[in-house]
Amino acid sequence: MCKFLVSFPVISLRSLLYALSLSLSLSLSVFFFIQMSLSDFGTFPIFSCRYGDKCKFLHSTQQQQQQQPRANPFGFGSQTGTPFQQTNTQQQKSNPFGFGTQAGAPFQQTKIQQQKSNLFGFGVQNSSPSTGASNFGGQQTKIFKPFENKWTRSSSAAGASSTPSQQEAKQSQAADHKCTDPEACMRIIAKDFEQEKPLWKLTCYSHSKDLPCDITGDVSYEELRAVAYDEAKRGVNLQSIVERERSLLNSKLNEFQSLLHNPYSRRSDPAPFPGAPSPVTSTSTPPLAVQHRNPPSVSSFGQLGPSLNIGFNTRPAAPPNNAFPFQNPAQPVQTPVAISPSASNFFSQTGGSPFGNSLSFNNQSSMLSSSFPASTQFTNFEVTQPSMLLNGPSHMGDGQKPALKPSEGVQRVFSGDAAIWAKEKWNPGEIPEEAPPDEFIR
Amino acid sequence: MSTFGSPANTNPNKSYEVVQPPSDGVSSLSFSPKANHLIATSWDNQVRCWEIMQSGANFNSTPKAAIAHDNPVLCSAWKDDGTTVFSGGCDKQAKMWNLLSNQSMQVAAHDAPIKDMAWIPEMSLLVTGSWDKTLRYWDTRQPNPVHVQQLPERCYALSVRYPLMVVGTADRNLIIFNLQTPQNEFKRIVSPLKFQTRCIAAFPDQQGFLVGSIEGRVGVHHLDDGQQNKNFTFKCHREGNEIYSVNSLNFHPVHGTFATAGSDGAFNFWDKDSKQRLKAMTRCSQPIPCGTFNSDGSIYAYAVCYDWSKGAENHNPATAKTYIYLHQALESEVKGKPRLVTQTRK
Repeated sequence: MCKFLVSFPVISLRSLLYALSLSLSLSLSVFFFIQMSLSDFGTFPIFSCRYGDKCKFLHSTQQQQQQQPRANPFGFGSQTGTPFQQTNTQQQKSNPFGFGTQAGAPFQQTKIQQQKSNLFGFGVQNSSPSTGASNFGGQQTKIFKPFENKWTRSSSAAGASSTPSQQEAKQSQAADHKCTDPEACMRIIAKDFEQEKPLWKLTCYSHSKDLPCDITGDVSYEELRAVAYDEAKRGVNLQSIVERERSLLNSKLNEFQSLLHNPYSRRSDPAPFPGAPSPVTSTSTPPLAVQHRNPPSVSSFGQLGPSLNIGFNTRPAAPPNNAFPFQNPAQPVQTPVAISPSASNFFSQTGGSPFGNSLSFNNQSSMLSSSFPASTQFTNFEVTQPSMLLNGPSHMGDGQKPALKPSEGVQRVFSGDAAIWAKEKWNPGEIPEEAPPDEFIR
Repeated sequence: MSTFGSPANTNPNKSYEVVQPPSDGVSSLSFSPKANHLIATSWDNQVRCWEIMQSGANFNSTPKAAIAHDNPVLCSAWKDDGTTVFSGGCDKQAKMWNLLSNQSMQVAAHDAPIKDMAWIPEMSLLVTGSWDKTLRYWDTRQPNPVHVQQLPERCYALSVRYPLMVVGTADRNLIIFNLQTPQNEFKRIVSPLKFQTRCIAAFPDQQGFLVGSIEGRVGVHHLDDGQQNKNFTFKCHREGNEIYSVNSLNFHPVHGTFATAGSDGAFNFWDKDSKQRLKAMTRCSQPIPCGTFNSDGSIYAYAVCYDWSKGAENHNPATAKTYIYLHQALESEVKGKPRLVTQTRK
């Protein structure tokens, strides 16, 4: 300062301005500092977290709840609602079906960012601690990329997952699971069978969440019980009921075992469906009815038939009434072929474009009415070639055709003329190279 | 008659035992939206109604009425005015039971047993989901469904919070509907859980849903693509190496927390926002196939009976006993809590 005074006459205007701005900024920063300190002291008289009341964690000394006026990183805007408003009646609910910006995203981002793990596998910021792979309960959050599409098989899994353009943003490796490495898949399956084996065995299974089932053919408690009660009503004794259930269980366990040893070969083993003596719940219970009519190992062709029949039987007899808001009460029975129920055609008929991508998939052809998840029940006889990724639902359409592409490691390819198997004597040159379909195996 | 252990085993939580329980397993429980009337559907083909009186921690139950189906009854729903009960099951029918007049009539038909149903007041329709792979919407005044919706597989569970409806089917399909355009599937996804879907509960604020499976796990799933980072799953109802299924998911009507009930005979209360378990109750000696809150969330009713989780061979009709218990849901158990952190920063 003295220097200034002494040399005042020779100070240029520029340096004067400089000095002024410097002092100004100094005073401003002091001002802010004072402000912050004051606010800090106001809320944390004793314990001072360096984030003060902006800390995302709840401190036990903190009296108020976490009010986070800061905008969350994902552009949802600032959170001004009370954080623990469970019912969220006061906040603007974003319309779940017309997603846009979240004016009042009901659940605090802050809570989710807490990464403490607990016993229940919480703590990962986003989903999927659920795979058998390493990230059980407590893996740290990966970098969040909001709309990055990590789903590499969207074309094949289109029907099952959300639209490929807006894939769920998955962070952990489990969600990214690509079935390119059979070893990795096998490891996951082995781990699951070891650690994640539920007590109820009659279930479908997928080694990775969001992937369609590796093993299909769910039987629920109530279905099994309903069949048992029905049998009992008809006079079947308990012992036979128990035995039937046991054999069902065993065939399902065999399925799991074969998956464990060969994750990419989708056996067309039709064992999945519960073995109900068919008349029981009437033919209208498709999975129950199918099973017992089939011999234990049936070719893909063989299973197709009864499934088709059953599929038809389940069509409702009564035409629906036309009533608002259902604009197109089209009959559910649409296509002759539909292995999966004619959901796809029904959708395309209505003309509305539902948001699921499954429908664009289906609209490709009326023949290939393979809405993705529906076909999972029939993936048994869809042959996946090793070059294809697991689950091979991209062959969905192909799966509907009886002649499947031959591939190594698959037992029940039905290619070519079946009559060759019926011949007594083969001439050189016409001996088939693949194994016979099981219907020819005595 | 009951030799299955002392009563304490089936009721270690000292809940109130509802009088005159069904003679066979309970498949669903639901409270009236208007009063403390409890409906239980059972494998003994009956739908029963009790009136529940509560004063503080004390309960009283009075059997009121019952109707019968021809086959086991699997699901029930109340009409929003609290006068009428819908029930459906293995007889492939749904019945509408007017409690005031004590008259019942058939209002729905499927080709296979009806597994789950819901009354949608905003549409004045009953929706039923069946193992015949369809959802059907019923105007109770007409014999034919207003709409038939094909599902990819057998319906295992459904949950409605208008306009959101989530349907879980076999083979891990989850289908989401916007009931404003119910003939279109809004979205169809594969379950975030690896095994069979067992139960579903839509968030009260319709932002997403819970899905429970047989593998002792619950998935929390949000609908908005932008909220996918909030999705997670958690393990529950496991004991050592034994992994039981989650049979029932029920949101508390006020606090937005939820209860799970499992085949291990336990029921727990959870807060998904703070990702905590609020309360773990003691295991009963038999599975809990279903549970429900009453309209103000002060009572959690649950059934303790065999759920077939170990097949027919573990069902002994001679000695099997069914209980329905009422648990007073204390605020400390069902009100959400912020998550505390230690003082030291990481």
